[in-house]
Amino acid sequence: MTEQLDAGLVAGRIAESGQVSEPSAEREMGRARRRKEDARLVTGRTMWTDNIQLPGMLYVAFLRSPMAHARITGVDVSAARSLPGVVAAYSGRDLAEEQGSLPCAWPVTEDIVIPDHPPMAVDEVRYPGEAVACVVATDRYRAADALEAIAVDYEPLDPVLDMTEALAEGAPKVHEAGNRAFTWKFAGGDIDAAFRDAPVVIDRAYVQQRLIPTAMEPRAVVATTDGDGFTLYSATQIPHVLRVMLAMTTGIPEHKLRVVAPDVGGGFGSKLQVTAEEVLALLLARRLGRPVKWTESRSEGNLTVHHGRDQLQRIAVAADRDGRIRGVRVELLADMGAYLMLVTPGVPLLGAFMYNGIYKMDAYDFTCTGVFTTKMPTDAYRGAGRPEATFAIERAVDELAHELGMDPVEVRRRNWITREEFPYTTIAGLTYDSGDYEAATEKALAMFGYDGLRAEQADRRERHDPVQLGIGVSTYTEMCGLAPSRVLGSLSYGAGGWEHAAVRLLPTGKVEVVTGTSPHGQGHETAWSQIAADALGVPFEDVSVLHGDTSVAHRGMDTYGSRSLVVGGVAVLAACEKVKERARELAAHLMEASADDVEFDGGRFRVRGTDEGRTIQELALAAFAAHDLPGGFEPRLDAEATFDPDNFSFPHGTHLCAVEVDTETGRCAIRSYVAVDDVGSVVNPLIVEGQVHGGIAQGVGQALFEEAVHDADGNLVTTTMADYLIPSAADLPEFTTDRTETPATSNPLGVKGVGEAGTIASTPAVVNAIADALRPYGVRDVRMPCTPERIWRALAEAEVTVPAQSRAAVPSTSEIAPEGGAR
Amino acid sequence: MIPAPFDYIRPASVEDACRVLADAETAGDEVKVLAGGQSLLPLLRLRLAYPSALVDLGRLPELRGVADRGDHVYIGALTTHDEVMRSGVVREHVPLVALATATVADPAVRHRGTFGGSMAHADPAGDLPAVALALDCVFVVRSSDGEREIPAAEFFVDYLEPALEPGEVLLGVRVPKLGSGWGFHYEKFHRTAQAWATVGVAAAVRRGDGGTIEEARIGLTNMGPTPVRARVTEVALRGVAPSPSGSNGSDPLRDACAQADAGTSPPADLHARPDYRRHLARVLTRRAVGAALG
Amino acid sequence: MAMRFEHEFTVPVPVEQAWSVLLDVERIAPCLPGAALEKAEGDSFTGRMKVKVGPITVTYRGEAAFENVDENARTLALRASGREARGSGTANATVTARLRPDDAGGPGRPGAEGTAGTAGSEEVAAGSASSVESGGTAGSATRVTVETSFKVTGRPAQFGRGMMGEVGAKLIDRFAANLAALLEAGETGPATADTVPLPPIPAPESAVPAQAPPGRTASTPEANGQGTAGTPRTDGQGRAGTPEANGQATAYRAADGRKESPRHLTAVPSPTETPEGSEASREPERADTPETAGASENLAPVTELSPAGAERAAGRDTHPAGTSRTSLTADEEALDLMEIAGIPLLRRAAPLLGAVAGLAVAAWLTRRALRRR
Repeated sequence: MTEQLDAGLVAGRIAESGQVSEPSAEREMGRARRRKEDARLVTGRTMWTDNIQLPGMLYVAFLRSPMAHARITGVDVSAARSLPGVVAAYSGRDLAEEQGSLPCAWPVTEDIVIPDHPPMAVDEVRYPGEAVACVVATDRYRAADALEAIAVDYEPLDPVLDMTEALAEGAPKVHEAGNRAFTWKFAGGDIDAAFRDAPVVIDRAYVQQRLIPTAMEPRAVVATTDGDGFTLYSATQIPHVLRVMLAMTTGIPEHKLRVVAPDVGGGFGSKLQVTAEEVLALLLARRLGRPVKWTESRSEGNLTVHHGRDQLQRIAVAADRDGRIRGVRVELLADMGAYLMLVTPGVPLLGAFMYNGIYKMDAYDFTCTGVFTTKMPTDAYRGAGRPEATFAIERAVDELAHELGMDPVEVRRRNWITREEFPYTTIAGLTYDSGDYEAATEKALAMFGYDGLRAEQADRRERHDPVQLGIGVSTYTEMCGLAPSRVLGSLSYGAGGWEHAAVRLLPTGKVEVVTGTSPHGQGHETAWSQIAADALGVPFEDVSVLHGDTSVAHRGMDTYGSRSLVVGGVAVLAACEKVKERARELAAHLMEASADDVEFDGGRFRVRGTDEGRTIQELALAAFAAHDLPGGFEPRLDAEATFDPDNFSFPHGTHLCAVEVDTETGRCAIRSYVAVDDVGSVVNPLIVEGQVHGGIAQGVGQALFEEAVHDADGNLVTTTMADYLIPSAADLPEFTTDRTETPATSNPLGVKGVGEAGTIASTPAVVNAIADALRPYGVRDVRMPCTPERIWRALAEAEVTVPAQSRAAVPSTSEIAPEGGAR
Repeated sequence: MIPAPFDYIRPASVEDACRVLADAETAGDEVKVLAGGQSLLPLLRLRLAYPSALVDLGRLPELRGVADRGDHVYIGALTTHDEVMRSGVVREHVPLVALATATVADPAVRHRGTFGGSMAHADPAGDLPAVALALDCVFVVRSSDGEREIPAAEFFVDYLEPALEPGEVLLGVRVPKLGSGWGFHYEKFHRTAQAWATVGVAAAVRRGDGGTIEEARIGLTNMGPTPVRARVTEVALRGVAPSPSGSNGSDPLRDACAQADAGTSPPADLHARPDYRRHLARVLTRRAVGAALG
Repeated sequence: MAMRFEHEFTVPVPVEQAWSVLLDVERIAPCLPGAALEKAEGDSFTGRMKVKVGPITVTYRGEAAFENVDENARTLALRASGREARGSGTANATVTARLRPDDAGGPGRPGAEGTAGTAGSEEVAAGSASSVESGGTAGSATRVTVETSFKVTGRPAQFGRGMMGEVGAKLIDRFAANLAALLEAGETGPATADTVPLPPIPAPESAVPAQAPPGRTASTPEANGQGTAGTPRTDGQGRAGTPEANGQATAYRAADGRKESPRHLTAVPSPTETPEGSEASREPERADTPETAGASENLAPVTELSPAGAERAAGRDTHPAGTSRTSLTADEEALDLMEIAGIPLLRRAAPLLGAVAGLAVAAWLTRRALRRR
């Protein structure tokens, strides 16, 4: 073989084979690309965790506590062990020495109570569904059958179900240390002054019911070892965080542990967790020296996927008679469930800075007490703390408008931060970098046909139409894009909020983007490809995105809190820029020009003022061949970048919802829904649209359908989807969505998070609409989910039995007085 | 969600099936008949049912299909919901069946679930039992002792308990044609599109020449351990001249339906408590009757 | 899921005789349909119980023991606890029985728990006299109060459709009926579940003549008042505006899950089942609907609270036991009473619940009225 490997020759051969792309001219940013990953995801031709088959694999099934709260007085697994196909069966006692405690990474206060949280219960079970034993068998059927042979003796203890009762003197205790996990306070301004002599005070209590995140893909784990290191495959949102936490929890050294999140079918926060099953799978693989797999069933998941929300809120708004808000005071009881999991205590506090919403005010006061109950722990669920906050303030502002006889949009207008006032530092201490509430609201009102609907509403009230119309307004903002490591540190969070990316130009000019974010349905592969394609001037199709495997993407902080684009996407851009600078240096060398004279345009480096140029693909090959490189230039066009923003991201928008409430049956149907969101600059409008649609659907789910219900003994009675109702497309209207674009100033792409916005905005829009429809009947509130029965009962119990359109639009002084003295 | 082990038997004929069931009965085995499996399999997977064997009737073509038999339409027990709701014979002669069937669960379930399976499961929250009751359907069943017929009024014995003896197989259902002048409606109230009926009302109403109601048949879904007929309302509707509620607020239909819940014992569950179900029954019956009148 | 039921009936045998039968577990056990005694040692027993509803089967294995046997007071409790034979769920039951000589009035007299205040006492009395024959003679009859509570955990409890409520009500109902028959049979021999007729589901056809025409009322205003007086004002108001008052949703507890059936038992939430501010108390059962409120052309509502429940509710003014109720309108309750009038056992059992008996009168009147037509 005498032929020299010549870069030009290789390039020619590759070009003949049609593999080299021409530089791309069309801009990818803002293009409604169809998602490149969808074909494999929706056809199932991909690696879901449960699809993984390894030689000699064993299957794990967990026996779960039927009791909410009980002392375990005996576990006998011997009969199960003797069944055919059963390789092992263990009780919590059997694993107690090595199982450690599941981590809580967010000790929000100095004196927080963080109880020991064994992955498998040893002495006491504290929520229904807690694992008490397991079987490992040669197939999943034998494992399931063998569970029936395990005998567990329980000594029932009193369940702790009600937060208020849990805090009372003498209440049964979930843990020895008591039922109060922490109390966290936060204040800005002089709250007493704001409420002193306030002409109007709105004082309301709302229940944020417990929700069960319902990702399409159930949780699944595969753990395997080669005798030296371990690999854990998990349907997780957080392979990187999981690896660190598992290394700390199990004692497996971090460098001997690889964590892989294969394609993951949704999470909504529920897979932002270090789960008992993940830890136990690793332990079992270590004990048995064989791969083990566990996949949950839906009803098992309803019991043991961490739950969301579950807060009792009290919000008081003090205002002047002209509608100006003077101050907001918030008291929360947040149900932690039985243990503090990864970020359990932090979730309500993510809302702490959001109860002021988009409004200016003089004072703000926030107190949150975390309470232990004998229920599944709560943790992040789409929006995590911010939907609760937005619900409370947006409901209260609507109530304020009613008290003042003002249009709810007008009250908001009088209080919101105007476009000229950005950047604006709020009473809660956050600096909102950009926004235009006026523009989004104007657009939404016009699309909604607000005035026409108000006229129709008046007409229906006049006619005593049994089907009443209600209009709900929600003007939200949220803090997302988690986020500045410095700020997270100040909130006692256990980690930072940076994100990492690596970009590699392959010899043929194709591009590999390695991201530390961990997509589970968001379309990162498409969006990151668009960012890289624009930055490098390569075709969209020439970019592939690698993620989710700690041996491939070795650094990352994963995906949650609408952070992927605003942190991780920006890191991709930064890495691309670094690659480009290296390519520029190489191009200058090859063209014998000064790097300062080399300009980049559409994937081509050109000596300014000449036709002399090199495409980025040519440079990739040249770097690979390494025949002619500048002195000291390493033969590669790769770069890595880590981005740590200096602020959160503050998307905002105006959502308007019209509901028709059948006052005879209580049925509520959404007639129209308009969402105008401002998520800054947009990489892919189709993906944004999808996030908004899905987000609204999930928020409507909380407003109308979803609730985890426990009976008086603490049994969860919504373990199946026949009882835990989530809306399908058939239950939702066509959403009308649009956008305004006010670029973020906190990142070079000008982008803001969008993953949670729809969920945060829609719940109060829907419930405000229901309250608006029913107000003439004397109904002041309907507890979520606003089921037909609840609406019917609210109507039945209301003071006014016929629509009273004569009810004064401007209430008398007595009506403005603080309600019931409950201040 | 893995069922306990069970044997699977696929008989080659109805006779075969009857024999298998009779043998099981003799041996004291608990054997369940499998039709579309849309109700039974979830119970198996939740391990709330532990049959020793399933007898799958799914491959018996003689149990499948719809036939026009003069004064009635015969629907084979294994006919899927989808086939029923698309059947021209059903739509023309017993449209109430088609209307109610179209509301059953979702398309996936309707393609597997069967007409006879829904009946034999005798779930009062199912949509079809109330229709069968309202139309006075006749259930044709067979055992190794031969065939017998069970009128709908005797078929639904209790919660999840049909009048089928162990060893009996439901062959099909005779749905009487009601003749001319009848209007039909199935009013289903449920929280989500795929949810069971909180309450459902199957109404068949015949109007006389003068426009007044001459006869009404009303079956209620999920208003007790079995489907129930709203007999008081059926009587009260006779002779009512339906008119849109006038300016004086009078509504003769509503008055006649004010006791639609009489004689029921609605269950309490997550989605509704009994008093609300009673209220719904009254309101929905008024609506169903109104819609049936067109 | 917890459920609590109360039964009261009178048997025409002396207390001593009933008491000895009650202590004989081998005879008591078969009263519970599906139960089988496997071993008896002193005061404790092991056995199993199979609960079957359509295709659903749950089998429990467990132990039972007598507790608090007080021969003087003629009270005893039987506590049973079991585990699913094939699942991880558990069931616990306590049956408390109390016997008292019933010298005075025979079976028609309302029991202490059976009176809904003073409301409708006239009707009650009339009901006893007119609709029910006297079943015993002074001194030779025994009034039996049976209180049964049970708790279920695990899969059978994890459904919102109230499956166990459906099953539980039925089971306990049959148990009480069988027990009554057994006690009445006394020394003559053990009763089995098979020998005692059960209340049939009323046939729809027979339902027609018993229905009251519109406008007929059977309720008592006082009872009605009791039903609504307990309605707390909650959402957004005063004290109710605090998170505490809004409470934690622990909805659908206990008795609420019980099927509302025209049987003669009273679902009473045990005290622990009505925490302050519970969903139940915030959304109390209404005797009434918005549509029919006060409308004279409609049936006046009957209180949704059962007599016992009402009593308890009255003692807890701001938080009535919204879960306790027998939500039957007068005529349909009546309908059922008339239906079962031919069954001696229940003819004795029924009138002992005062309000129910009151309803029986109304039904009787209703039926007469209809017959005259």
